[in-house]
Parts: sequence; C-alpha cells; structure tokens
Amino acid sequence: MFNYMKKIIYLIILSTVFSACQNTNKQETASDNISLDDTLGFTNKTSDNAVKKIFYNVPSPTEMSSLLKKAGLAYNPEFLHSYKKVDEYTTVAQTSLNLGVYGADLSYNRLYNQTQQAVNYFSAIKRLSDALGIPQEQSGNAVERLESNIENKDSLLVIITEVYSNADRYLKENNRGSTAALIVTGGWVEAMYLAVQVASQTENNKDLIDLIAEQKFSLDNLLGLLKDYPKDKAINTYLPKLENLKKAFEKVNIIYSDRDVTIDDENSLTTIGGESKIEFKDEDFVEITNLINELRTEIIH
Amino acid sequence: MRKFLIPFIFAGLFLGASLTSNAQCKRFTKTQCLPHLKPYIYNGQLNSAVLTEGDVAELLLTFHKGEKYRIYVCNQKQLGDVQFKVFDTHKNLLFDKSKHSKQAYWDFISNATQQLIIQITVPESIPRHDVLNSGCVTILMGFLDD
Repeated sequence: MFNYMKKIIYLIILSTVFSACQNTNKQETASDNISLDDTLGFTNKTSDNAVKKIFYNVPSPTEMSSLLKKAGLAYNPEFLHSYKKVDEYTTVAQTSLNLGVYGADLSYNRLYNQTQQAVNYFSAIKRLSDALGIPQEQSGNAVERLESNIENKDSLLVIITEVYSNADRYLKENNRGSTAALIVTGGWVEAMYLAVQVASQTENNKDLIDLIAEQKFSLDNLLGLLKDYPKDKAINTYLPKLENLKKAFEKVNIIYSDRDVTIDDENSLTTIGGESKIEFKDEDFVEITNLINELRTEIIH
Repeated sequence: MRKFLIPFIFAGLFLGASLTSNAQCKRFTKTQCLPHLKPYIYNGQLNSAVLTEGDVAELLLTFHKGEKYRIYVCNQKQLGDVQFKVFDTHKNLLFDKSKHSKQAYWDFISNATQQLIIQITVPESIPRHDVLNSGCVTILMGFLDD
C-alpha cells in the first residue's frame, strides 16, 4: 500500500512539474508577446503582488498595410513577392516566414482593391497553411468565403484577419509558438520592405519615412517575441540580423513633447495629446533600408 | 494490472486538466471577447493568460499617430470586476477605468506614435477565501480601418 501511494505521489509531482513547465512556456514563450523591460522605468512590483508579464506581439500585416495606405502611397505590384514561388518553400522555417510575407502582400492588395491578386495571394497562403498542418476548420473554408465576398473590401478584411488570428491561435495552442513567431517575422519584414521601397522611390515622403522610423518600437517587440524561443534554429539565424537592424534603428531619436489627455465623454473618446519629433540622418535611413532589403531577400530565397 | 494503471490514469487526468486551461482561455477569448471589439479591427494576435485573484499583469503596446484604437479587457466572471489602467513609459497615468467608466473598453486616439503600458488588476474577494479564484483575462487591441 505504501509503495502504491508513493507511486501516486511521485506521478502527481511529475505531472505538476511538467504542467508548470507548460505554463511557464505559455507565459514566457508562446503566451503572447514581449516582456516589459526594466528600461521602461517600471519595476516588477506595483503592489504587494509581483506584476505578471504578459508578452506582447508585433503589428499584424493588416495593421501595417493599413498604415501604408493611410500614408497616401500608390499601389505598385512590382514590390510584391511573387505568389508563383509558393511551391519553392519546403522547410517549416521557410514556409512560416513566407506565409507571413504573403500575408503582408495580401493585405496590401486588399487595401488597394486588387481583388484578383488578393485571391492569388490567399491561395498561396492556404497552401503554406496546409503545409504547416494548420487544419482546414481553422480557416473556416476561407477561400470559398473570400471568393464569394470578392467585391466586398470590408468582408475581405474580416476574413483575412480571422485566418491570420486563427492560425496564430492554433499554433500557440499546440505549443508551436516559434512557428507563429516566424510568421509574424515574415509579415513584419515584408511590410517594412514595401514601406522602404516606396519611400526610396517617392518624393515628399516625410510622413512615410517617419512611419518607418517609428517602427523601432515594433522591432523591439519583434525581438522580444523571438528571444522567447532560444532553441529554434531558424530564429537563431535571423536574430543577429534583426539585432543589427535594431542598432541602426537606435540612431533614430524620437523626442516627445508633454502629453495631455482630453476625454470626450459624449463620444467616449480620449485624445492623448502631445507630439513627437523624429530625428535621424539620411545615411541612417539608407542603412535601415539596406538591412531590410537583405533580410527580405534572404527570407524569400 | 489494474493497480498498475490507476496511478497513471490519475496523473493523466491531473495533467490533462492543467493543459486544457490555456486552450480554454483562448476559446473564451474567441467566443466571449472578440465580438465586443467591433467595429474596431482585431490586430490578429492573442494576449490572454490565466490569472488569479490579486494578480497584477502588464502589457506593452505600440500605438501609431492619428489612429483610433480600442483597448478591451475581458475576463471570466469568477474574477469579478477586473480593473485596468493605462500608463505612458514614464509611468504617467493616462487612463483609469475605475474613475472614468464602467465599460470594459477604452477608445482613444494618439497624436503621436508611442508605446503605452496596460496594467490589469484582478480584485481580491472579500472576505478572502482559502482557495483563490482563477480565470482567463484577455486584453484585445483593435484599430479603425477608415
């Protein structure tokens, strides 16, 4: 009887330890984003309880493309990665990264009402999702829904966002957070690539260049996300390159004036006032552009 | 044989219950939280965790100049009225849910691109129980696609 109880206690301890590891993994890796770091001036204690760190993510391709459109940029299909190359990606890392790339390109096409192109890119995404083993039900027959809503820009956005978030959720639920992180990386790099390409070929582009410079924040978030997967080979390949990019972005100086907060109770809308001034040299921007171009070339080849 | 199997079944059930809680949290987010974000567009990635009474959690988000955003904090009922505050990175308080409204979301526009910290506090039950309640808390961020 004693031995029997000992076995039970041993197994409970074993499963508790395993479970704790899983939970730690969820909180510190897949759980969802980048940790606050002490450089923000926040201590780990704000009350009697330790602050739990919920990790943050990076802007999705949908959000990034929306920012590009709002910067008033014209559509240029030459900047996009060809959807015809979809079958060239065979490893999990290549497939994940390029799923992110095509996600950014799809969002870009949608914003500019390029519906046929959107379908082409969506089909490429579907193939890469299948290759990663993301179940069909996670995308909810999205290709059929996309085709039947082809003229409805708002519906397309909903479908694209659903597919992206469902894939993210599925991968995190199945302890494949590193794959989700690579998809995010591909999407971020492609959105940045589109932005720097347009910026380098457009005059009077200060708003766009400022937008690119402000992505120093999202690069920090991306690095925080990737550092949660120190054992992933592909992530370790890209981390040093992204760290180099971070060094280039550190030359960008963003100065804030005092913030004031105005609350419009009638419309339930708060305005956070104050402005930012962005300072950097032309050569710094060239360096950022070159590093992004190199990263993107490596991902799609 | 039966004696041999029982401890494994027991341990398996224990392990299974703990592993499913995070998955259930994400399902809770999809069914109970995401619909409340409309008409704002969900940014596509989950920020959810299982928290316990008295826990304080933080999240760092980047917001872009001139964009309209909604932050929506959603939690399972057993955690009570979960509070949230928004700070800038210099610890200046910008918003406190308890002082401004009873709604679980906050709509705002930022005049400059900046990072903000969302701090969540799960209230402690009074009187305090021996066994603390735990449940899913989700922070969603949406933007308007004008």
